[in-house]
Amino acid sequence: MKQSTPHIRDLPHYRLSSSELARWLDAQGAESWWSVDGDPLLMERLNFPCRGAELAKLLRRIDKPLLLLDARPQPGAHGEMIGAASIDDIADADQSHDERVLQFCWETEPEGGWLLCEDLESQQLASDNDSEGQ
Amino acid sequence: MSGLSVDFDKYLKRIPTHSEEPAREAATPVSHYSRSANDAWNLLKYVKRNLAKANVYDSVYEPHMRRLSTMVMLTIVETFERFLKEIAAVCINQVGQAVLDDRLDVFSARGSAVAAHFESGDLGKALCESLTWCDCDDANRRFRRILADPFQDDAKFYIFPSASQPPASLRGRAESMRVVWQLRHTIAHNAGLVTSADAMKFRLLTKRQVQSPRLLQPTEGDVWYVKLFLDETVELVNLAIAQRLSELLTTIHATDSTLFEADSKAKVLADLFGVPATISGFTRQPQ
Repeated sequence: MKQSTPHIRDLPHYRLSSSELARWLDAQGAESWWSVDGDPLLMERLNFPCRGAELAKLLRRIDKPLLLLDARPQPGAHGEMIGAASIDDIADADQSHDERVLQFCWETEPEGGWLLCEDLESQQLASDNDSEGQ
Repeated sequence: MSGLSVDFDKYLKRIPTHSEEPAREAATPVSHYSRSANDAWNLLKYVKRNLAKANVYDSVYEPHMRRLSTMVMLTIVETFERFLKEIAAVCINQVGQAVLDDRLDVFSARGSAVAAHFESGDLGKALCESLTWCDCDDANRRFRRILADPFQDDAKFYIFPSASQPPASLRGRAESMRVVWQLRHTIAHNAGLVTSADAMKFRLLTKRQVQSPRLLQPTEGDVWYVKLFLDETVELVNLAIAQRLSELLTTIHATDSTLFEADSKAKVLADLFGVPATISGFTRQPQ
C-alpha cells in the first residue's frame, strides 16, 4: 500500500536559489543528461531528458528560491541556505553512485514537489550517437 | 467467464467521469505537448528506477518493461498528433473569420462535432478535433490551405516538406515521420503486432526487411529516439507555423486594418505559440 510522504517543508530540507542549482548542474559536466518529473513550470518549457546546460539556463532565468529535501539517512538540514558546492553530499544520499535523484519544491508554492533525476542511459545513448556521427 | 455478477453498465459508464482538470499549459499547444510527452517519458523512467531497487522476477521484468516502452512510445506519438490538431485549431481561430475565401472547405466537419463546440465558439476545435492527423500528406494539405494568402491557392508551406519544398527549416523529417506514424498504427491498431501489411509498409519506408508476424519490442533507447525526434519536430513546426501565420495576418491586416489591432494580435500569437510574434511591424514577446 502506498504511503504518502509529507511535504518537503515538513521534512529536513535546505534552501537554495534555482541559480545555485544551475551552477551545480553546470559542474556535473556538459555531457550529463537530466529529467524533471512533476513540475509544471519546468516541464511545460523544456523537453526532457535534456543536457544539464539546457536545464541550467532555464533555472537561471526563473531564479526563484527552492527547498531541497535532505534525504540522507542522518539528515542535518534545518532550512539553512546552501550553495552549489553543498549539493553533492545530498545528491548521493544513498551513496549508491547510481543515477542521482534530488527532490525539490519551489519555496513559494504551497503544494507539490518534483524530482530532478540524472539519466545515465540517455547520457550513454547521446554519447554513442555522437561517436557514430564522427 | 469470471463467475462474478458485475453491473458492467454501471461501472463502465462511470469511467469517463474519472478525470481531472487539464493542466494550465493545455492552452498553449507547444507547452501542452511538452508537458504530456515529458509525463509519458517520466512514467517509463520512474518505474524503471524504482523497480531497480526492488527484487524483480527477471523472466517477467524485461517483457513488462518492453510493453511499458511500447505504451509510452504510443502515448508520445499520440501527444504529437494532438499537438498538430491543437495548432491547426489555433490557426483556424486566428484566420477563419478574417477571410472570405473557401479555405475552411478543406475540412469536412460533422454536425455532431460542430454541435459539441457551438457553445464555446471554438471553430478551430470544431473542425480539427474529430479528424485524424497521423498522415503527412493530409497534414500538409490542411496546413497549406489554412495558411494560404487570401483567395490564393495553397500556401507555399509544407508542415512535412520534401527536399525541395518550403520551408527549409522543416525539411528532412517527412520520411522519419512516416515511420513514426506506421509504428503508431501497429501499436494502436494491432496491439504491437507487425502484420504482413505493416511489414510491407515498414519495408518500403525503412528500405530494409521487416518480418511478420512479429510483436514490436521497442527498447528504452527506441522510445528516447522517437521522443527526441518529435520534441525537435514540435519546436520547429511551432516556430515555422507561428512565422507563417504572422505573415498571413500581416497580409490580411494590410488589406483591412479594421479587422483586428495588429499589436494585440501579435501578443495573442506570441502567447499561443510561446515565441515572439510580429504582425504589421508590431513585435510582442510571450508571457
